[in-house]
Amino acid sequence: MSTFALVDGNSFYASCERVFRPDLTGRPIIVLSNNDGCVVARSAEAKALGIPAFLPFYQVQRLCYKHRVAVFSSNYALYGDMSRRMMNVLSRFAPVQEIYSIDECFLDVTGIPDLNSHGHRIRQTVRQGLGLPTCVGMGSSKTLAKLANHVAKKRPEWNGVFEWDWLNPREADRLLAEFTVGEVWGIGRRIAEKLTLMNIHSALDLKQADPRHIKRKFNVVVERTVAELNGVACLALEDVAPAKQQIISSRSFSRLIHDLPSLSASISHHVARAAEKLRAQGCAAGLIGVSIRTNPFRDLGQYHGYTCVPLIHPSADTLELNRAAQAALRAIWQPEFSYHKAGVVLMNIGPNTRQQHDLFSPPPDPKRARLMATIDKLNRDFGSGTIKLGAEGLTEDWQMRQDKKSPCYTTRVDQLIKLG
Amino acid sequence: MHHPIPLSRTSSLRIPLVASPVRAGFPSPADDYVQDHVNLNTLLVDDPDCTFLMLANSDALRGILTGDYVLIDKSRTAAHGDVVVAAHENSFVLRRLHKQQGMLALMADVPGYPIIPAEGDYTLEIWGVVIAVVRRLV
Repeated sequence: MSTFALVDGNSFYASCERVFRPDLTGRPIIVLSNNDGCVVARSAEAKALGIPAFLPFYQVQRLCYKHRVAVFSSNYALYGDMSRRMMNVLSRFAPVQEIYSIDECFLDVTGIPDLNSHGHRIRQTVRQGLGLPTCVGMGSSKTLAKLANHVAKKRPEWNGVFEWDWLNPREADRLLAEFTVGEVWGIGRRIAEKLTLMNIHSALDLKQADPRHIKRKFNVVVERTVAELNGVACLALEDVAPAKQQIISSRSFSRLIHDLPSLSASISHHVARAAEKLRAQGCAAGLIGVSIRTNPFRDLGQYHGYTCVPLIHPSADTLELNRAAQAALRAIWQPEFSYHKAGVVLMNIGPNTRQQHDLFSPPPDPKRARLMATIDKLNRDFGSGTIKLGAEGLTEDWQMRQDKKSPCYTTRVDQLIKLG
Repeated sequence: MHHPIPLSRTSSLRIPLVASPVRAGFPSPADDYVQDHVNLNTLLVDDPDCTFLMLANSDALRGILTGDYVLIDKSRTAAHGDVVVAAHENSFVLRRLHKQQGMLALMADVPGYPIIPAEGDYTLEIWGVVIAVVRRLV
C-alpha cells in the first residue's frame, strides 16, 4: 500500500516576510494581492484578529492600523525563491516529489519506517534551515493526505504532523465527519452544493456513498474521490508537471485607463512577461489573445473586448508576439470606454523545435532567438524589467501599485540585509 | 550596480584547475588529468538551499569588515566560538557566540560593543551560522 505526504508552508507568504524581519515575531502580518487590492495571505495572528481572506484592503485598513498589523505588497521574487529552497529541502525526504503549488508538495513516503519521526524531521529541517513553519499530513491516498494536512494544521494536539493510520477506523470516521464535503480535495463549490442536496454533507458521508451512484450523478473524477477517501490511491504523483497549454498575463490597473498608448504599453508588458515564461519552458505559441475590459463594479459604460491573432510561424519572440498583440488591441479598442484591466493569453503552445515554415514568408531569424535569450538572462540576473521593450515604458500609468513591498532579500545583491 | 552572485551549484563561476595556456605543438600531458573546474559555490557553500547572503555593516569581529558579504548557513547548529547572525532589538547583528561555563551570550571581538546576554529563559535568537566571508579587493 502506498503512503503519501502533503507538506505545506503555514501562511506561506506571511511566513516568508517574517524570516527576514525579527521585529515581526508574534505580530500579525497580511500580504496584499497585485496592485495592493485584496488580502491574499494572513499570518495566524492576523486570522485570530478576524481579518477575512480575499477582502479588499480598504475594508480592513482600520482594523490593521488599530492592531499594528504589518501589511506587505506581494513580493513574488522573495516567495518564489523561498519556495524553490523549500521544495529542494523537501525533496530530500522522499524518492518522488510532486510540487503542487508555490507552498505545497506531495511526497511519496511509501515504505519509510516510523512516519511520525519522519514527519517531525521534515518540519524541523525546514524550520531550522529556512525559518519557515510547515505542516505534514499523511495518508494512503493523495486526497487523504490533503485532509490529514488540514488536521495537522487545525489541531494543535498533533504538533503539525498527522497520519490517518494513527487512529483506529472508528476514530478516523469520527474525524472525517467533522469535515464538510466542500473541504475535500477536488470537490468544488458546485459539486458540494449538489452533494448536500443528496444528503451528503461531510467527508464521511462522501466516503460512505455508493461510488456507482456518485459516478452516475457526477463523473468519474468524483467517483475516484470516493475511492481515495476509502484509502484506495487512484491518483499517482506527477513528478513532471506538464508544460502549460496556456500562458496568461493580465492585471487590473491602479486607476482607470482611457487612452490607447497606455493600454498599448500595458499589453506590451504582458506580452514580454508571457513570452519570457514561454521561452523558459522551451515552447513557442501559435496564437495570441488580447483582452481589455471595463470595471464591472463601476457604474460606467461596460465593455469587454477580446480577440485572437494567429502567428504565421509559432513564435517565442517578444517582438513578433507584440506585433500581433498590438494589431489585436487596435482591433478591439473602443475610445468611449474607461478600461480597468488588460491582459494577453498565449495559446497553441508547442515545443519550439517543431515549427512549420510558411512558403511565402521569410523564416524566423536565428539571431532573434539569441537576442531573446540575452534579454531573459539580463532580466534574471539584474532583476525583472532591467531590459524591456521601448513600448512598455512609453507611459507608466498602468503600472502596478506596490507601496508596501519588502526588499528582495534573497535575489538582489543591492537589497541584502545589513548586519550591525 | 553590484554584480549578483547566484548561490547555485550550476553557477557559471568556474575557474579551471589546469589548462595549457598555448595551443601549439604537443598538448601538455597534464591536460589528460584535468577533471573539473573549481567551483567557488561548492567551495564556499555546503547547503545552497539553506545558505543566504547578507552584508556586514560593522567591524565588531576581527576578519570581517564593513562591506563584506557574509554567507550564512541557516541549517547549522551554532557552537561556541562560531560567528553567528542573531536577532537583537528588532534587527540582525553579527557577533561571536559564547557558549561555555554556563554562560550564553553574543560578543564582539573588539572593545566598544556591549555583550548581548541570553534572555531570561536562557535563549538567543540565532538566525544562522556564518560559514564564509567574501571580499573583493579591486
